[in-house]
Amino acid sequence: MSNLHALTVPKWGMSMEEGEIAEWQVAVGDQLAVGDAVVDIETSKIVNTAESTCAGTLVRQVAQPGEVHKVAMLLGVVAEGVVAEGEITEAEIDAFVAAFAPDAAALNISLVADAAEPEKPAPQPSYGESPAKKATPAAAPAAQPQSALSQGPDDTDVKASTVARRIAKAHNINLNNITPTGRHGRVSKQDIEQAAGIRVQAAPLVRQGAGQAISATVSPLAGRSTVDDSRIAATPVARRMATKMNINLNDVTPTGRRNRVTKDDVEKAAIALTGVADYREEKLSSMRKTIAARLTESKQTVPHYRVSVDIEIDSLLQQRKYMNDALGHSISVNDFIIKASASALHAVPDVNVQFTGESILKFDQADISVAVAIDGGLITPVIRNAGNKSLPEISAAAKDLATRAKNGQLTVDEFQGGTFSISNLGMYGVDQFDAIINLPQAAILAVAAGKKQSVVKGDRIVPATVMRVSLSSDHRAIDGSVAALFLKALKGFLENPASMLL
Amino acid sequence: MPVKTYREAINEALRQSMREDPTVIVLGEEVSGGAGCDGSRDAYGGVMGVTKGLFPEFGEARVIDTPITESAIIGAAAGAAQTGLRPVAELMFMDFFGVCFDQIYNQAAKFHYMFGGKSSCPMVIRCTTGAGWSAGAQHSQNLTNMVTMVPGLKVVCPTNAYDAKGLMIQAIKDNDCVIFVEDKILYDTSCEVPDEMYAIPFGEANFYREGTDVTVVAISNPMHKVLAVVDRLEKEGITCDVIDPRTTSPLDEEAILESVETTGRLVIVDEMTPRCGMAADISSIVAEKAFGSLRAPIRKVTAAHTPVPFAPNLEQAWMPKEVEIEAAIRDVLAYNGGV
Repeated sequence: MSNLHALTVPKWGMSMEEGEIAEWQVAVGDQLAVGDAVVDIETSKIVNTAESTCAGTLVRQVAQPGEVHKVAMLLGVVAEGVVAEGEITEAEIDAFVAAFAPDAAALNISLVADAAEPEKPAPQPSYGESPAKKATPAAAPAAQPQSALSQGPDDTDVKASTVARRIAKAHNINLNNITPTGRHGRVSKQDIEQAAGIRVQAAPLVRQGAGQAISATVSPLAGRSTVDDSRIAATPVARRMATKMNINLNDVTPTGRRNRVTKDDVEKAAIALTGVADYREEKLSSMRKTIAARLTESKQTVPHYRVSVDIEIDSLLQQRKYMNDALGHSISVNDFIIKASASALHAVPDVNVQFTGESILKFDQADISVAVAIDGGLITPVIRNAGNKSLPEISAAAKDLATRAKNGQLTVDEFQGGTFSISNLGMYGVDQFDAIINLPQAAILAVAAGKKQSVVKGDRIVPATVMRVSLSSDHRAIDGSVAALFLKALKGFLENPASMLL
Repeated sequence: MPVKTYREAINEALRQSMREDPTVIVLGEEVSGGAGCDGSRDAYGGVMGVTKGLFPEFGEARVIDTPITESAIIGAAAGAAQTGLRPVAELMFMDFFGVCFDQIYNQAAKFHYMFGGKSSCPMVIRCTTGAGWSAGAQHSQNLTNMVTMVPGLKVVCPTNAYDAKGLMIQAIKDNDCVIFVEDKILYDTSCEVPDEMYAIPFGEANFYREGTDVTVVAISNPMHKVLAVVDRLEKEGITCDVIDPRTTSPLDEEAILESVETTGRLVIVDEMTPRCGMAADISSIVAEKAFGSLRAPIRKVTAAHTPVPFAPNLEQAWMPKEVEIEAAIRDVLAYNGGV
């Protein structure tokens, strides 16, 4: 049984929960290598081909074309190596299928309706109930896989331990099919586990904190006792541990019986002496890994430089107020910045580029990636051809993308392939910041908050709402003067929004 | 199905067994009551009234009042069992085992072994146990552990009327010496009990509740405290396997180990003193055989390691309490690897 592997519905993109089986690319008996195309699956967004995650021989197609299966559910069964027909019996495969449990935890999705959750019995009315009455099974869990072990006559009268009966019910196993070896000829938990090739265990404990981490050495610190501690009362384990960690027992506060130093006391002392603070360790999400890898690559390989400029946005704010109040739009300052950036990219196309190593790609169309903070990271949905879109169109697209980004509903083509990025932290009131270039693009605009400031105009000091923007550019593709020209154009558009109409 | 008390259920089991099998006899102090006094032959039916009504039906040859001599009661019963009778001897309190322990563990428990299997000892020793009556240190102990450790004895401790009847019928049919431990506190509890005879096999645990988070094993009366706690916790979404082994010898290890394998957490509750009690015993079995399944250290909730106090308030403090049971369950659930 151990040489059977499950092919499961993969998760493509954050929004994917289930897929419809379109077509199998391989037949039962075919040889598979890791990465081979196995079956086409259609999601709400795309049709994609699931690849084999293991090498061997396909022995069963569990999911049939037209069926809809949830992510992580069973597609098919692969046997290791080259398997002749009939070498693995149908019963073995049945048992494997029956025992299959989706790896819901790894995918972090709810499979409540499908998972083999042991159901809770209804509360019993009084404590004195007879065991005879207890045989009444609760409703069977939904969507249990059928298998050879499921078949058979009513098994209510088969003698089985309570736990065994529970497991059998959860896995849709008929007790008539199990050879009993338990006490008084009962079917035991072990009997079922052996027959079905499963193992039922308690959920593993989620460990928190890092206290256990103290193990090896604590470097000798100034001021620590050097007096002989062999006469200090300590448990053997505590003494051994203290020796290993180079801790003098004179420095440990004893709390044990008869004032002995315990293992806990040594651990506490170790923390006090090393100043190891508590922390929680969180595994990297795939998004965090991607962010880490891509930004590290960008910051380490791209020669960044920054050019900043202050932009007065009073005129913009006034016109925006009119558009929103009088015309009923809800256009944000950021929508203006997107539009103005696209216009500036049209005016200074040398910024709308990508450096490939061999060449520089120059884009005609300004596809603006807008950084959106989402739970656990950020994502940059793209507003295509923003230069040729009206402000209301940009506004609607930006809202839609941001909302769906936060709900994890973006498709790959919606957040890949921009030509220029904008990161706006103005809503947090920052005065100025620099952004890291979003590869393979060559420039990113960092937008700070618009704030009322005193500005010298002619010889007079006047109030103005000033917003500082910084352009981070890839010097391999964009020279300083080009960046400056871009900012000049951008400043022009934002300070005179009507010029974007030209 | 008719509802009967624990007392009535045992009485019915005795009565039906005596009707069915003429070799079954009952003996003990005042099992009929007032022997030798005219007109008072069915006065008591034992100190707890369990054998009430047996005397008029079966007469003095089968319902025998004895002198106040525990060694004689058990010695006579053990001897009678060698001659083909199936005696059910009553000792008022389990605490009095000390007086007749030689008859129990050296004689009754050993006949089958010492005589090379040519003899058996089909007798039942009924006794009462448990604190909560303010009966003092010599009338309140639960010494189930002391007899459980003796090879050759079977030990039964029912927690409800249904089990009491079925286990008593099995005990009488059994060919070994069976210690039948009745918890005083339970005599007036009741539940549905069939009128017909039925036997519950020894060594099969009863699951009072089923759950996935914690396994709780309880012996005798504390089971009812456990059920109250578990039912409260269920409202919070914490579900427990609540296991009543029903017999401590033989013990249904399989049921306990299987359950612990699926919950990873174990709380054991009994009303014995903490050292060498049933909780300690079950704890050692699980630690030995299911160590890899445990997600948290095993917790025992037992009585205090002192004689049972007479003062009612102290007695209550001495017994395992609901708050302790709840705390233990929460503890094993909250256990985070000792961090």
